[in-house]
Amino acid sequence: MAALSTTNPMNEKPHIALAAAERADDIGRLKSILQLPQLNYIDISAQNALQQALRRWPLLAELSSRHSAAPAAVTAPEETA
Amino acid sequence: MTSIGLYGLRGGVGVSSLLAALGYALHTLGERVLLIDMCPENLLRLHFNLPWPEQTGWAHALMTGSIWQEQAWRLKENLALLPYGRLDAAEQHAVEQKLLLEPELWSQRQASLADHFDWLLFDLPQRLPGHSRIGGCNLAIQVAQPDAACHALLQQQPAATDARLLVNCYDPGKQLQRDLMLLWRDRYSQRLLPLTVHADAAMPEALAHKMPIGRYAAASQAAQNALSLATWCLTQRTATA
Repeated sequence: MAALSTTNPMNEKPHIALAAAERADDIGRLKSILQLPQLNYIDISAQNALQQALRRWPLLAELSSRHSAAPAAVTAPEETA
Repeated sequence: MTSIGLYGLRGGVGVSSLLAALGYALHTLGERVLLIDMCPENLLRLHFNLPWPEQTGWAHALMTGSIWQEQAWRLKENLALLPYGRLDAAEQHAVEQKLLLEPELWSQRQASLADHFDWLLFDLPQRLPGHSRIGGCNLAIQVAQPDAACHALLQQQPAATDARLLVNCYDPGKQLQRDLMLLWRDRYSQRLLPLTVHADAAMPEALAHKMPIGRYAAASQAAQNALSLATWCLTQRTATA
C-alpha cells in the first residue's frame, strides 16, 4: 500500500466521479484510485453482520429471500380514495 | 432557488418536525427560506408558534378567493411560512381535484417566489397526488424510521424513484434499528442520505413548546443533525439549481 503513491490519495481528485455512497466508502475510493471498478472486494465482516441481522428477525429474513428471488420492481399497493 | 419536497414513507415518521428543523437550520446558515404546508392536517404552523385558532392558508384562500401570498407569515427576516388553512373534507377534496386539473398552479407560484427565497420547503402529504406533485421539486426526500414496517414498505415500493431516503428517529442502542440500518446501507446505498436524524426527546418537546428544535434545544443531537441536513442541502443546490 505504501508503494502506491507518494502523495496522499485523499488529496487527489479521482479520475472517475464518485457516487455519494462511494465518497464515504474507503473501498470504493480504492477502486477509483486504482481504476479497477470491477474489483470484487469481499467485505467478509460486513457480509457476516448482514447474515446475523437476517437470522435475528424472521420478517427481515423472509423479505430478504423475496428480494433476492424477485429483484424487479413490484407495484405499490393501490391507494384508497 | 431550490424547491425541496419532504414526504413520509408512511404517516407519523416526523416529516413536519423535520421540515421545521431543516427550515430553521437553513435560515441559521444565512439562507432565505419559505416553508409551505401542503397537508390538510395543517400542522406545520404549530412548530412556529402560529395561533391555533387561525384558519387562513393558501388552500383556504383558494376557497375564499383571497390572495394566496397574503396568507404567509413572516417568522423572522428571511424566514416565512405559508399554512394550508383549515378546510373540511369536502373542501380538501375540491382542492385536490383543482390541483389535479391545474398542475401549472404551483409551478407558476414557485417561479414567482424565486427572487424572494433561496429555498422553498414543501411538507407533502402521502396520499394526495394532486397536492404532492406541486410544481415540481429539485430535491424529493422520502422520510422513514428504522422499523420493520418501513422495511416492508420500502421493499413494496416501485424500485425506480429519484427520491432520496432520510432516516429519522434512529436509536443506535436498539439492535433491530442497527440491523435495519445495516441492511438499508447495503441495499439502498444510492438513495440513502449520508446522515441520519437521531431519536431525541427534544424533538417532540420542541413541538409542545411551539418551536423548531433549533430554537428549543440548539445543542441537542437532533438539532445538530438538522444543521448537518441543511449543510447537505447546500451541497445539493449546486447540483440542482
